[in-house]
Amino acid sequence: MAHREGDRLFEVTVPGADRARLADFSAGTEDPNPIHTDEEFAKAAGFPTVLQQGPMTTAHFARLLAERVGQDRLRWLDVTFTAPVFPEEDLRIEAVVTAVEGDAVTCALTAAKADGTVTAKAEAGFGA
Amino acid sequence: MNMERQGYVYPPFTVRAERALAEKLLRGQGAAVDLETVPPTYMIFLRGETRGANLFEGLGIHRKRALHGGQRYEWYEPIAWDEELSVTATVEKITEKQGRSGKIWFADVALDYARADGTRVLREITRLIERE
Repeated sequence: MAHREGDRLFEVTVPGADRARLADFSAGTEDPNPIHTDEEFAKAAGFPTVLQQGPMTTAHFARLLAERVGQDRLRWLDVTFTAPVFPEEDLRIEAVVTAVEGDAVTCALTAAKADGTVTAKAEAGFGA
Repeated sequence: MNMERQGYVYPPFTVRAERALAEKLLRGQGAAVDLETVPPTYMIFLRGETRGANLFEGLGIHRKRALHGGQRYEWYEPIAWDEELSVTATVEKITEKQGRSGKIWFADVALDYARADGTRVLREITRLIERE
């Protein structure tokens, strides 16, 4: 499928993760950091409650891109986390094509909370 | 942050693409447990923590002061289930900045995943942050 600059690849809302899901994600990534599962630890670290894993947002970006363009066409993904995500917070995730050069397509991705707070920004490249 | 760690290369460690871990990852994402849809970010630096490349410990990052700044993935070849890969982690860059409420350190660590014949299949860069 040919892509053009400005094409919206997807715009979806990912339902917020509860604590059980955070624990599953930590187990699945072998992440021992208690900040994702231990309320008291998270508060001692200066947060109101446990944090959703940044790599969960990365995984959302990658899974949605793979669904849209095909996993075998993904070349790279570069994510910057810009704000913490807490349990049960839905994320609006979107991706827009920013450049098409020959067989290489670049897109910009964002994840944002319902109040508009952007929690992650990313760029990704895939084969046309 | 242990600034002297810049340039350090960890001894290679081995990871295997395990279905059981991928299923947990998918459940954590709230996605259907279909191994065909496991995000290609399944391989992650955290797997090194119990395999000789504990970045937090090596860099001297206290977890209560740690933040995850970002990640970069570069995919070169698909990884098959049960495939074993050799992973080499390199502390590429450590920088210190003055924030509004104290110093902040940033560490970029690159992980190169390769097959037994040396073919690189994946490069991951993780960006770790420590607050003062």
